[in-house]
Amino acid sequence: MTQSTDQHDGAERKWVGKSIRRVEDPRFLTGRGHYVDDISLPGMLHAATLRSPYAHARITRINVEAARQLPGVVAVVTGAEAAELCNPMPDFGPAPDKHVWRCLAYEKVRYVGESVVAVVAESRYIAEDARDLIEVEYEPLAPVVDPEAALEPGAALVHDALGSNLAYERTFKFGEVDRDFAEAEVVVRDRLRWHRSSGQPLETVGAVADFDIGSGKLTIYCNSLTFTHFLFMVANTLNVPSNKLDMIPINAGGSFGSKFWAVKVPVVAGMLAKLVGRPVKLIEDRLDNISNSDHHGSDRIYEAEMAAMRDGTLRSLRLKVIDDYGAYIQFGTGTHGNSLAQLTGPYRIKSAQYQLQAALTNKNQQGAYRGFGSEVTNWMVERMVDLVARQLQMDPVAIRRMNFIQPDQFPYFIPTGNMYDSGNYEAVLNKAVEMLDYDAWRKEQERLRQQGRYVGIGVISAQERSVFSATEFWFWFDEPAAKVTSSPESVRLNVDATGSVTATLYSQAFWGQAAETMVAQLVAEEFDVDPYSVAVVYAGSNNGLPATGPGGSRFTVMVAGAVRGAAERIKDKAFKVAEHLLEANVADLEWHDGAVRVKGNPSRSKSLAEIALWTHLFKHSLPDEIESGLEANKVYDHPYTTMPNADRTNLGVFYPFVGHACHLPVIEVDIETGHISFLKYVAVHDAGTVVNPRSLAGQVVGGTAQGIGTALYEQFVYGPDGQLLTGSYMDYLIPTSMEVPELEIGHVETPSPFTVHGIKGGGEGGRMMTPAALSAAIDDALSPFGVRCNELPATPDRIVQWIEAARDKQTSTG
Amino acid sequence: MSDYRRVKMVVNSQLVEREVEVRRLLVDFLREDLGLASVHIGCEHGVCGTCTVLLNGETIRSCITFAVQADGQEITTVEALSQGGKLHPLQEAFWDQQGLQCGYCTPAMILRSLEILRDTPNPTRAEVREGIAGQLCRCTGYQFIVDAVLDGAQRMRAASAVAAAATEAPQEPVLVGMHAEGTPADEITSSGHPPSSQPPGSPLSKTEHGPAPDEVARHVAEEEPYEDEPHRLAGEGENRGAITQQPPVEEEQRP
Repeated sequence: MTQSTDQHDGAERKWVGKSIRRVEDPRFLTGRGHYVDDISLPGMLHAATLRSPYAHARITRINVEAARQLPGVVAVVTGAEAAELCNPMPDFGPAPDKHVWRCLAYEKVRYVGESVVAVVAESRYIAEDARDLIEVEYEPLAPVVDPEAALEPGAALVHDALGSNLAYERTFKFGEVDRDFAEAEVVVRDRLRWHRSSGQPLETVGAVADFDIGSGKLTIYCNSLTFTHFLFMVANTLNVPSNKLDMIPINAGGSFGSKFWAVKVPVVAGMLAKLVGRPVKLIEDRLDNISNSDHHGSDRIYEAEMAAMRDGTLRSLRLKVIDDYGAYIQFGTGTHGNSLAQLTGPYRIKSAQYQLQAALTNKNQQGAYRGFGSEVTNWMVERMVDLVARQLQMDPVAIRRMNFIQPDQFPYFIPTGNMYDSGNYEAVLNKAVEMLDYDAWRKEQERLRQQGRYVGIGVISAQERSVFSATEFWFWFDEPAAKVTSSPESVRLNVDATGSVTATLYSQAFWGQAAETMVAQLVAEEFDVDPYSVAVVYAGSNNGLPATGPGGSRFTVMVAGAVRGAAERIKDKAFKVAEHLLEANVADLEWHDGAVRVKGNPSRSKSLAEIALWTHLFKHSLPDEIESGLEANKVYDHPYTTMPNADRTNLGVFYPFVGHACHLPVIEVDIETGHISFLKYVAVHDAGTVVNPRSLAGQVVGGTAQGIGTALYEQFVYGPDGQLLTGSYMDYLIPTSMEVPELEIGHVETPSPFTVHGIKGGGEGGRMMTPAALSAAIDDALSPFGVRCNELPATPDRIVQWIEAARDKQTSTG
Repeated sequence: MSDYRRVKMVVNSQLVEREVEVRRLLVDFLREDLGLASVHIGCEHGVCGTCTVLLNGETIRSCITFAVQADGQEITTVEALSQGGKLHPLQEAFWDQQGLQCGYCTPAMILRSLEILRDTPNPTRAEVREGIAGQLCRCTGYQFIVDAVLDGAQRMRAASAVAAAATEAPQEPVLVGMHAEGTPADEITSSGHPPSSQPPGSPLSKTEHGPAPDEVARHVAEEEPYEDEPHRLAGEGENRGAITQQPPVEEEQRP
C-alpha cells in the first residue's frame, strides 16, 4: 500500500501520530474477544422472537398454548402482554405518541420481520421449536411501500393516530436562495434516488439480561451502550427505577452505526428476565438483523437544483427531499441534521433551500449507517457539481478547485449556520491528483477508448463532519420538548501505587475502530508511559459517568478531551506532592518525560511512579490537604456548540470539526454485462492530527469497501406487497475481497484549532466519499453514451439499462 | 425431535466425547458445549464464512454442519494456535499489519489463511485475495488482511527454515504454533499434534479434559470405523489433512 502523510502541525508528540499495533488485538487474534454471545450466566435461558410475515396487518388472534406446553419452554409473551409489562420504546422523533413504537408489535404489524411474540426456553433450539408452534391470525391491510405514494391523499395509514404518513415536514431557507437562482446563468436539475442499505456487522445485536429480585436491579450486558444520560428512558420502558438499571458494555463485532443506541434487543431481554426471574440471552439472528433491525440506512429521493454562473462559480442549491423512514422514527430527522452540517460541501455556495418530508411506510425503521445521512448529502452535492461541470464542459478537477473555500477563510460558516473549523481542500486535491497522476490517466483513458474500452475517472472532493452536538436532534422544531445541549464523553484515570495507569470508559466504545488504542496512546502522550502499559476498562452505566459513545466520528476527539482533562487534574496533584517532596515552589517545577522536575535542575525530579507511591501509602508524610490516591474523572463536553436562532434561518454550530477527502477511482465498465472493475483507486483524507495513521487508513479502506457496497451492490429490496426480497447474504451482496480494490491512501493533516491535539473524526470518511466517486467514474466511463448515474446502487442490471436507454435515445434523436 | 447420538472427535488435539442432539449445529456444539469462543456465528446460512473451522485440516462452515457430521473427525479452531502464551506467526502478522478491526471474522480469516499458506506458502497478493474471497470482513476492506497474510507467509517460511535446519530433517512438518524467532527441536512432532510434554498452564496439559494428546490419535484410531466411511484422522495416511502442520520448505522461494 502506498501511504503518505503531509504533516502540517509542528507540535512534538511522542505517541500521538505513531502507527503502534493495537492494544486490543491479542484478545481478538486468539479468539477471546468476549462478545456478548460469549457470555453465559448460571441458569441462563434463551429467547427468540416470532416475526411478522406481513408488511401491514391487524393481529386478530394469537394462540400460544402449544408453545407454552412444549417441554423446556419457560415463558411466551405476546405483544399485548408486553404492552402490560413495558412502556413504549424511547422515541426521539416528532410526536412520539402518534407513532408509538413497542418492543413487540401490539394490535398491528407494520413491517415484515417485526417481532410479534417472544419465547423463553432452556435453549435457543427449544425457543425456536416453540416459536413454530405459535398460531397468529392476521387481517392483512394495504401495504404502504412507495414513499411518494405514501404521502398521497387516501394512502393507507401506517399509524392511524397520526392521520397521515407524513411524520415531519419543513422547509428551511438559508441565505438569498431566490436571488441566487434568479441571477444564475446555469441551473441544473436532477432526480436522485438513494436506496436503503445498512451496516450489517458480522456480529448481530445481542443482550444478556439478569434481574435480581432481591435488590430489584436489572443488569443488561449488551453490545450497544451510548447516550448514558438518556438511559432513564430505557429504564422507563422497562418499568425499573433508573438507578436500578445497569447496562454493561460488551465489545461489538462491528457496528457501522447499527449499534448506535440499539435498545430494542436489550429491552426485550430485560423484559423477559424480569418476568421469569432468570438470566435471559437474546441474540438477533441474521434475518433479525436484516429485517428487524433498529438501524436501516437512509432511503431518499431528491429533486435537486443547483445554480451556477457560466464560468463555473457555484451559487445555490435548492432541494426537495423525501426520506422513507420505514415504520417508526426513533431518532426523528437527525440523519438530515447531518445533511445540514455540510449541505454545501467544500464549496463557497452562498445559499441553500432544504425541504424535507419524512415518510412513514411498512418497512424496517431507519437509524444510523456510517455517515448518518451525510454520506447521501455528499453524493447529492457531488452529483450536482458534476452536472454543472458537464453542462459547462468543464473538467471536474477545475470546477472544484475554483469553488473551494480557501485556507485563509476558516473558520468558515456555511449557509445553514454550521461551522467548518479548518481545512486545506486544494492541498488534498493536489495530493490526490499527484498520487494518481491524473493527467497521465486522462491520456490513458483516451488511448483505451480508441480500443473500445470504457474507462472512467471519478473525481470528488467532499466533507466529513465530525463530533455532533445535541442541538441537531431538536432544531427541527419551533418548540421542542427539551432543548438538550449535552453530548459529553467521560474518562476516569487511576494511577495506582506503582504508577500504572488504568483508563475507564463509560460507553460501548469498541466497535472495531481501535477505541482502546486511541485511549492508550492519548494517555501515553500525557504521562510519557508505554501505551501497552495502560489498562483500558469499561464501566457499567449504573455507576458511570455521562457518555455519548461512538457515532458521528466523535469518539477520538471527545475522549482526547476527557483524557487531557483528567490527566491535568492528576498532574495538578502530582505537582503539589512534588512541591513537598522536592522542597520547591510549584512555579519552579515542570513536567518532563514522565516526571516532575525542578526547572533547570534535571537531577532533582520525582517520577509519576514515585509520586503515586507517596500518595497511596504515605498520606501522613504529605501536607494535610493532600488526600490519598491519585485518580481523576473528567466529563468532557462538546467544545464548540452554538444555539440555533428562533426562526431557524441559522441553525448554529453543531458539527464543527470538518475533515475532507478526495477520492479518485479509475474504473472500467463492461458495457455488455454492466460489470465494473477497478484499475486504480486513490483516496486522500484530512482528518486533522492523526493519532494512529495505520488505524485511520484501516478506517478509510474499510469505509471505502462499504461505500463500494452501497454504490454498486447493497440494497434492501421490498416488493410491491412490502415483502423483503433480500433476506439473506445470497441476495444482499456485501463486497468480498474480489470486489474491493487496493487503495492508495494519502493523509493531509490540517489540525483543528478547537480540539485537543487538533484531532478531527475520521471513522466514516471512506463510506462518505465512495458512492459519489464511483457515480462520477461510471458517468465518465459511459460518457460516449451520455449515461447519468442518478440511482444507487448502480448494479450491473441498472448500468446495462442505462446504456440501453441512452442508446435508444441516441438512435431516436440521431 | 430429541434424537441424540454419541459423538467422539478430536478438537484441538483433545479427545471429546459427548451426547448431542442430531440436529445440533457444529458451531453451537463448539461454542456452547466445548466453550470455544473463537468460533463465531455470522450469517447462519454458509455465506459469510465467519463460522469457519478446520475439519481434518480443511475449512468448513460450522453453521451449516451438524455436530454429528464431525463424529470421528478432527476439528481445529484458533484456540489451538497460540500455545504457551505465544501468538502464532500469522497472528503476529495480523497484529503488526492491523489485519483486523472488530475481530469478529478474524479467527475464521486466520484459519482460511493457514489453509491458503499450506497449499501456497509464498502466494501473490492476487492469490491471497482470491483465496479469502469466501470470507467476508465488514471492517477492513481486506487490504490489510492481504498485507497480514503475506507478512505471515514470510514469517512462517522463515520459521520452517529455522526448524528444518534445527532438525536436519527438511521434510518434517512442524507445528504452526511455533514462534517466528525459532523453535526448539523438541517441539516438533510428526503427527501434527502438540508434544506430550505441555508447559504447565497449557489447556492441553489439563488431564481432566481427556487423555494426554499423544494418546488421542491412538485412542480414536482404535475405534470402530463407520460403516459408510473409513475413519480417518489428520496425520494418518495421506498427509493432506493437518493444517497444524506446515508443508515442507520449498527449495526455491519465490521473490
